[in-house]
Amino acid sequence: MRATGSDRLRLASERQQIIPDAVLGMLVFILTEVMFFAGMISAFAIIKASAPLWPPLGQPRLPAGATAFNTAVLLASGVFLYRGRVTFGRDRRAALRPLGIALALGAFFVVFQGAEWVALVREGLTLTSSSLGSFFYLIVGMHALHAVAAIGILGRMWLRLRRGWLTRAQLATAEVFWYFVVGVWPILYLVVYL
Amino acid sequence: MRRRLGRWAILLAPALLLSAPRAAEACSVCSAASSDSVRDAFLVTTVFLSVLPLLLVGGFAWWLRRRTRELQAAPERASQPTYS
Repeated sequence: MRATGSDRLRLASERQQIIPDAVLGMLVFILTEVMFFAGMISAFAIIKASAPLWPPLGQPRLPAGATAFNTAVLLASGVFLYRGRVTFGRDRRAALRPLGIALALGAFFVVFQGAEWVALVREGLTLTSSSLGSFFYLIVGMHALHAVAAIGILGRMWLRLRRGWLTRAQLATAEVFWYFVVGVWPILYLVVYL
Repeated sequence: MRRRLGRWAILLAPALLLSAPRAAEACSVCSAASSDSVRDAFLVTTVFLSVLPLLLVGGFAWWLRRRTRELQAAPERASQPTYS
């Protein structure tokens, strides 16, 4: 006996997606952004190697210690987001708190970076003061742009969760981008600050 | 005839390169670097930028394959059609 048309339709609708479309799209975007940062890191490495003196004379030293603390804050936001995802699987409303903490920590990271930039500009490190300044603001600025976008996306997901509309796929999409922002920062810190 | 010529070209090309080492070192970036550290930086970053996309795409493909197998290993739903 052959399967009927309605059986074929039921079988087709029961096929599982390997990963949600939005997550796949976000992963492809992240792959391109990883290459973008890799290009900038490579250019920075070559400029650093070809400079007669590094860091350049007359330029302020980058605040590696304070940024190490800020790095820990960003990593903590990744941990809280992971906890939020796990909690989301059990009790959706309970995930509001860890997601909110992750969001707050991410926002703290961006604001702290901004404060560092203001201090560095006052001390004479600007986009045009030296190659260090150019690359510092380019690389760290690009990361900050991604962090702001990630905060926007996660903030929107938090609001959707509060209203009871958030799906697992939507949270996974925001989560993947946040992990990218968190994961790329320690590499940038090691290359640029140390 | 064209396929044979193409095959010979593929076999001869590496032999020609190996027999002309000076000409093969024609990379204006790698060999014209001002110092050893700059040359090393060019080499390391070239390798880095060449290997990274392979790792990313390969890693992604590996993860997708693993995920597919996990889904297939999950208990099959009663999806067999019933026949009257």
